[in-house]
Amino acid sequence: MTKTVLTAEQWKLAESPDPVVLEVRNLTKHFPVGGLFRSKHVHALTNVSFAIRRGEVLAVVGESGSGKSTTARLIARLMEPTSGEILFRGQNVLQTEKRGASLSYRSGVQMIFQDPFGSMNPTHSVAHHIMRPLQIHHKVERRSDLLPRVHELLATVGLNPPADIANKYPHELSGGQRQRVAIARALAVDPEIVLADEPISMLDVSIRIGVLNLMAKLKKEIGIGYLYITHDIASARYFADRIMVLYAGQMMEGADSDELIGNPAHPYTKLLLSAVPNPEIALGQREVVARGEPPSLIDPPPGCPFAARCPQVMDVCRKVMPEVQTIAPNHWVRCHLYGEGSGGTAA
Amino acid sequence: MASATVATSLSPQSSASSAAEPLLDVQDLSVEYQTLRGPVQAVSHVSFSIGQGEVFGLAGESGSGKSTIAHAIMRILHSPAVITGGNVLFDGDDVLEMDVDGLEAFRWRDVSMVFQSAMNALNPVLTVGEQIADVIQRHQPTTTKQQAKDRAAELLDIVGIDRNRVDDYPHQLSGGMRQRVVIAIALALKPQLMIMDEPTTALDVVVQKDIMQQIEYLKKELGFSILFITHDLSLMVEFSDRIGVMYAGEIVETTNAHELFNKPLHPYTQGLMASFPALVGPKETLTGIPGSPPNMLEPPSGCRFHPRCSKAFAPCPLQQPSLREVEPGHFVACHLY
Ligand SMILES: Nc1ncnc2c1ncn2[C@@H]1O[C@H](COP(=O)(O)OP(=O)(O)OP(=O)(O)O)[C@@H](O)[C@H]1O
Ligand SMILES: Nc1ncnc2c1ncn2[C@@H]1O[C@H](COP(=O)(O)OP(=O)(O)OP(=O)(O)O)[C@@H](O)[C@H]1O
Ligand code: SF4
Ligand code: SF4
Ligand SMILES: [Mg+2]
Ligand SMILES: [Mg+2]
Repeated sequence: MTKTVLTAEQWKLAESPDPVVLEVRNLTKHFPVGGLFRSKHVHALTNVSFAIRRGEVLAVVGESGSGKSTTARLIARLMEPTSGEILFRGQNVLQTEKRGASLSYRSGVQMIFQDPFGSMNPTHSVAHHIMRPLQIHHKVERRSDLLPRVHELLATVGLNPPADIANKYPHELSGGQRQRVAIARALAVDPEIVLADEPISMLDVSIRIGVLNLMAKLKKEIGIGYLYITHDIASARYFADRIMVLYAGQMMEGADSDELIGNPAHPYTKLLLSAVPNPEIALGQREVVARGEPPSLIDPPPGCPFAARCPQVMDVCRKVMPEVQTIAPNHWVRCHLYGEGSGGTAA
Repeated sequence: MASATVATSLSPQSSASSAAEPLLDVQDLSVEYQTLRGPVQAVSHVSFSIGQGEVFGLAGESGSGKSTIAHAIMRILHSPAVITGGNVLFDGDDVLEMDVDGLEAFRWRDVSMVFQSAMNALNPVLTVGEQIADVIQRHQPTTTKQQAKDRAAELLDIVGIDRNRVDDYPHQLSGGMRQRVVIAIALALKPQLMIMDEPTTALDVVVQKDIMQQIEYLKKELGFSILFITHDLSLMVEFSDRIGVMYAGEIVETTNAHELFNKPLHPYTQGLMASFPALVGPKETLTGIPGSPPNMLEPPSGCRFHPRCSKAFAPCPLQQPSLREVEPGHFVACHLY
């Protein structure tokens, strides 16, 4: 089994004085599947490591099934990892909070889901949805402070007039308004990290940017850090400081957003970027980089998971999992084309 | 410059809506859903035409009426939907006047449709080969079972699936492969027009690009026309010859794809263009469009976009702008022009 620890030190914004708030090391999740004895395993996530600083956005991109949501669900402690560490403000929470996440962890790390409908109770008003976390986490001193704080939060996420919105029920709101309520609810507990799993993909195209701009404003003004999960790499460039590419549950490449998109090193990243619709280039005139579909994750063979589709595949790729290599400041890649003795050249 | 090559790939004949004899001519189409809470004017006085071998895109956000138009053309609208006006001419014949026999021949043979998330609509208990062969035999009763099966295998080949998978069941295929099967079914009777409603929306970009390139190739080989529906403007501009932009049941702008991308005139189209972050070029702060799409039970008066429009002025809430040709081949419904 490959052991790769990529610590915050190996991948940080060099000049940033901001403290690391969340760090994961070798996060791994294997789901037992198949038959009576559950002897097979889906390798949903394997040895994923990264850190998020205060007020920083790390985007996780990758195709369907690559492990993006699994990453967020593990950090939100909706399920337990098979192995690995989750450090919040330097504390290994899996060790100190063995019997589930503490109240302080749950308020420090909040999650926003893709579906703004599914995450709200249709029989409760907007005010109720935001009051509950305020009460559970003792965020206001007096009962009489509750409603003013609800209104303040609604105004923060651009829902005006707040007193009107507070009395509405979920079905009376548009998708974009519901997602803003979900964000207000997450903000209620003063989180330091927000895990946002495809927060805009279900929204109407004309209102997606508004929600992204809101999240960017909260990052700047309150210093919230985000794990931003998306399959839309252009939106990752827009919102995120850094981007990490997942493939088949493995971290393949990571860099500052502009570096990753301007100087992609991994063959899969290149494929992903070449497939993004681009109105500047007619479809028929674009080069086909690779085809095929993602591999099965059930007890995968050794070697690079992209080998079956990779145009640059070599013998070694099918036998040995490549290690993570740093190829430029703040830019790493997991591919045999790079690093010592590989004979490959960094782009 | 890349954009120059796009321009030359558009044939001038097809980019003029006045082309000699369009394959499909939708004239003043209106559709209403008669709901318990009142009538919903889902499509209002929509007109456009599609030439031979042309790709016409219908853009617009959720609920703007794109699928309703597609279903009206196929005559597969059900109650509470009522076509309240207009004509749909296919090769000169009015589809809205066709009887049952006429429709039977029209669907699949003349026009076929790839539905929104159709890949989940394949029959789970039939092999993909059986499902393709079924469409062929239903419409061409003289075909033998073996002939239909051979043709099914050939069609799989055409859409980029190994023909040996003809005996596979849908669950044995990935989402992308199932969507290719749906396209194979749509191609089975060599239609002249294919209506594709969000054909790749549920798929990853890599698979999407693969399928769209395949369709583009097939279109060139077989010469059919396409009505292409998607909310992804980048994909639409890349793939379409001409585009109609819909807002709240109306076409507010139509022109060729290149022009729409470089010089959108309607404030809604401009807002849509400012809603998609770019992958290359300078990073600008995008504004999107303020407000949210209208409640179609009570659409705004005058220009339906006026509550969200930053350029609205006196006549906008009062008077409905009509679609006018403001530049050759470029139609806009807005009081600014
Ligand atoms: N409870 C589970 N049991 C078995 N396998 C699971 C379970 N949850 C997830 N998986 C598998 O783990 C892999 C990763 O899933 P995950 O939901 O993290 O992907 P994703 O990157 O979020 O994909 P998408 O873009 O489709 O949301 C997939 O192969 C999925 O089928
Ligand atoms: N069966 C129905 N009953 C009542 N209203 C309907 C029905 N089907 C659609 N509508 C309404 O008609 C309008 C147009 O819907 P349509 O499905 O054509 O939109 P669309 O542009 O295809 O949207 P999407 O991008 O979400 O697919 C919407 O306001 C919708 O709510
Ligand atoms: S390790 Fe080999 S197969 Fe994997 S991406 Fe690099 S070159 Fe391709
Ligand atoms: S008619 Fe008026 S409200 Fe409508 S788009 Fe034009 S300027 Fe805006
Ligand atoms: Mg997911
Ligand atoms: Mg639709």
